[in-house]
Amino acid sequence: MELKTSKSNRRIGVILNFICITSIVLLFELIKLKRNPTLLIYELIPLVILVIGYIIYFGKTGLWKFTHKSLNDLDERELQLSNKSLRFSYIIFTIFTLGLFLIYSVIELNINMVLVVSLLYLAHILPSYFISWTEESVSNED
Amino acid sequence: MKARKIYNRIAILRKEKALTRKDLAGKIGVNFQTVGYLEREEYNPSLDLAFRISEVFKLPVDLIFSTEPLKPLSELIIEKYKSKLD
Repeated sequence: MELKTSKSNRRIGVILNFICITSIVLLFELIKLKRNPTLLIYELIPLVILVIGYIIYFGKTGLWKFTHKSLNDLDERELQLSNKSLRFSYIIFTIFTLGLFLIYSVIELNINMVLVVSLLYLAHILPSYFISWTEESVSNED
Repeated sequence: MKARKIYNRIAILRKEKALTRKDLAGKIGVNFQTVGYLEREEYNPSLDLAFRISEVFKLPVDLIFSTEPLKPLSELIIEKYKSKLD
């Protein structure tokens, strides 16, 4: 993991990524309500931004790889960071998902594949969000 | 439990030995970003890591790490000379 970009830039990446996932889910619900499948083309806009954002902020930086690394390959600080990020993710993900399911049940919406896939992606990306949001940039020399 | 801050001289010792963060990280078996965090005193090393660092610099642990702010090495040398002269 090499975080060369500034913290503020990385935070923009996290916000952008989260907005894209939310947009995909909300747009899909809207399309379902309107019953017009041709509107599905609009889903491509947040999807493309999500993929590009993922490559720039989580793929190239090695963040995704870092959060999926074996514990034996991490040093002591990275282990601590990994534990913190997973703890944060567990808390946020459970509250967020259960809250979302509650809203879905109250407004009597069906759970669909787009929502489940988005939640699956969110579960995996949340530790990277935490690290991207909190870690300082460190250069090799100075 | 909130850990107390541990001060260190890693940055100055590393520069003295003309090592990059990556070089030092390789010698002590951590990521170079961990070296950055250690130098900024934002991370307290384990006893094992502290000993590995002291082995690289060939100095006692208490000369590299302290629970109180460390004086510059030049100041320590001046103090030592002064005490010798007295």
